[in-house]
Amino acid sequence: MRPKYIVGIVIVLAFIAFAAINLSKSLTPYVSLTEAKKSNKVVQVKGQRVVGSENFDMEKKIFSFKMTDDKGEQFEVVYHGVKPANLEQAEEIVVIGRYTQGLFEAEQLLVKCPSKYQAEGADV
Amino acid sequence: MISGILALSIAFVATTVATAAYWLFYRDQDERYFHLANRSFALGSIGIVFAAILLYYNIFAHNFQLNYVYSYTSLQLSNYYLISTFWAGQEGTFLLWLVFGTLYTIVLIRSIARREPLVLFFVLLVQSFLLLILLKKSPFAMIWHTHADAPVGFTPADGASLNPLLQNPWMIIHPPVMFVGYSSTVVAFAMAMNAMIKKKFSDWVVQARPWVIFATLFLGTGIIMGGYWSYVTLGWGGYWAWDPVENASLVPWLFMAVLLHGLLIQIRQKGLVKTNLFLAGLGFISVLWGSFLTRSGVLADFSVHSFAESDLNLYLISFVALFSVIFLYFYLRSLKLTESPKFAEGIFSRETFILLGMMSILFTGLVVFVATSSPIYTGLFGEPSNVSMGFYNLVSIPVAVLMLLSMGFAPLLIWKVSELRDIKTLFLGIIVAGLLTVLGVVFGLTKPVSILLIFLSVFAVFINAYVGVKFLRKLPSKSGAYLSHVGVGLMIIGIITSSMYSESEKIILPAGEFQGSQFGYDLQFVNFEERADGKDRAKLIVKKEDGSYQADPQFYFSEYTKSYMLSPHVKIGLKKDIYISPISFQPGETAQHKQLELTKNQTQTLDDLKITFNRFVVGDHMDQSPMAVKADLTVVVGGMKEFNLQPALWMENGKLQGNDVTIPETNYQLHLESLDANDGKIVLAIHGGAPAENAPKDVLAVEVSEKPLISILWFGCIILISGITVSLVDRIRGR
Repeated sequence: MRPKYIVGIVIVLAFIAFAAINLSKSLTPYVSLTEAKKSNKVVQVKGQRVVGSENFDMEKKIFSFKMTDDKGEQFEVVYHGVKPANLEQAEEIVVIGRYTQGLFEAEQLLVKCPSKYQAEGADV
Repeated sequence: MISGILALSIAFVATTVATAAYWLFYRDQDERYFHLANRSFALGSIGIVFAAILLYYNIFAHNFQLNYVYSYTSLQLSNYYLISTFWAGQEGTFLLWLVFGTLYTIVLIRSIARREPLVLFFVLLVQSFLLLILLKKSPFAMIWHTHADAPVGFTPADGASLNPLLQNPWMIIHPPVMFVGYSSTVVAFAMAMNAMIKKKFSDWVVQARPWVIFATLFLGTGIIMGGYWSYVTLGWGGYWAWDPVENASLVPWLFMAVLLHGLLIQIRQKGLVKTNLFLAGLGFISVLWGSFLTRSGVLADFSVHSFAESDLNLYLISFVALFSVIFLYFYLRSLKLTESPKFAEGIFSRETFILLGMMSILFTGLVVFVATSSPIYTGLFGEPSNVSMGFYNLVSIPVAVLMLLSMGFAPLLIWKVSELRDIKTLFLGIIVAGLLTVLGVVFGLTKPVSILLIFLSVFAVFINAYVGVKFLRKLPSKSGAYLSHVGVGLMIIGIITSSMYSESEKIILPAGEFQGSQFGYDLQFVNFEERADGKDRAKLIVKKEDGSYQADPQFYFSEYTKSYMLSPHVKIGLKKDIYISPISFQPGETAQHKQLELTKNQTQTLDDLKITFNRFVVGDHMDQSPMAVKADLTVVVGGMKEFNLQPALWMENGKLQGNDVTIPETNYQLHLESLDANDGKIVLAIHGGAPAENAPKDVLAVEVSEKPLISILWFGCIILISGITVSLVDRIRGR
């Protein structure tokens, strides 16, 4: 085989390895709160907000609220952004982030609206 | 609606007959089959076109008995948006797909049907499948077929209307452009299948080329329009979120773009015979797979805008499986039958670099394909997982480096010979790219990855523009490729500056006060401006040193989504866009709310009002209910004028209801909140009057961000689209 093919194959393999490693790293599974507590990875937890638990600190610009996951376990979510405006109308909320020190630190809130065709994704 | 279902049924039968007849004509070469096929196809297209017109007729006639019309339209929608409701639901998009498929079939019949009936066989096989889906999920279903509680013959007074997010001019044009692209990928697929069955592997390449350019053009244009729509209306600040629905359109586009280059190599160098067949199959199957992913509801938990879950899963998955199996069978058979001649002998030949670019785009397409499908295969082994946006962005970087290298070098090289002849242009390109990159660093480029990518992009843009301009002078019809590559390079520059160097700040704005921002300008939230269409806007003043401007992002409550809808204000500029997105609104207290408790004949004072409760009156002439009880009040305003008022309280549907009564010549309003007949006591709620001092003001929270040089991205998009258009026109003329 000529060196050109070897270089080509090496590049292709390197790319595949690069993609595969990062793909497995960035997979964010949907889990229950119990599993989120055990995991160190970024996970997604789906659930309902606890009505009236929202609190927005206008000075620190930190928004927090309580949520119950599908198994009924309650926990507090902290989000370093501003409350998504349609939170009250959401059927379901998906929080993406990590569980540390008794709090769920959300990197992203996905607010699912009653309409299936759209929902607001609030990005950090 | 019987006539519509009948039209679709006839179309299905006729198209299926035509499909079979083209096959028989291929097998027996009997003219009668050919005529049968063409006539059946004509009947089928009449059915499809009739169905489409009928659906439009019902949409414009507001026939809400039709479930589709009820679900997506309303009396208030303007005619423009009524046009777009045609493709607001799945049934309509399949019908749209069929209409475009019919148009392509007509073109094919007029050009190659007699010589290549198998191409028609495959195109119409797909059409038959789409018709089958429409028979299962008909756009002509009546409301009582889909809603169990609606009686037969029921006509809703108004429709559910169109999602307000889709009530946007871009949403009139974006979906059809997208579907023109999707539906055209079948042609290259059918031609490749024809080639494999006939074991003639070179003719199809020339036939398919304009179709592949066509698909690339429309998919690309559609994707860009979708991105622009997302940027100017959704308010999250970006144009691309690697959402499954977006990815499902990106993947076929990338595959078509790779095939486009592969066909060029096969025509010029006779190489890549097997690769091209494979790419044609991959492109079409990725379209089918994409429709499955986004329409079947399997990703409902992972996408922010998938269509709702549907009962079409089985149909769609068998659609994908059937075509994949047919394709793979013939493809594997062909592998033994054909041998690609050697090509790309030297490293510095044009074909080597085109190959490098093809590999990088193909790789991106495959990775996005695999990553988007991740909830399906991870769900087989455990918790379904999806892939975060960060992954896609990360993987794009090395791919972009390779793609830019190949785009930059290819125009400097010649076919077949490995030799860098045009050293002068190469050095010129490196110098220009170097200087501009240094300039970029002076103006704030800091991240190494961005510096590398900017350097390579500028290099690729310069080389392609330099060579492209030469072509424009001599042979303008051949400048399409260079123009397109200039566009891609510019797009990458704009993507890097606007995403890696976008800065944003969340600002809390109490009404009326100016607040500073990190960008050096002050913002003031003035008030809300009510609009006739219900889409109220927050009025903001942005005060800059070089003049001020008014920004009016939308912020309104939508009855449709039962939630607040937000839409940003974008101040478009050459150097940067200023993007202001409302996030949250807290209404302040504009007026007092006070409660007064009164017993019979007691008088209480509030501001300059003296209110006396005289007695209860049991109302027998209240319209609302015979159960109404009124409180007879005497109100003295400012010690001067005396009024007699009777606020009422009554039971309605098991709940206490009261009415607001305005105190004449004031802006106070009274409301009977509760009463106790035994003790002769009432509680009055009074609101109005001047706001109390230090009362909380309205507060609007906004996110302000700057998107540096995003104009280059949109400019690059226009150049890219123009470039592909030039190539398409050239290919069509060259036939």
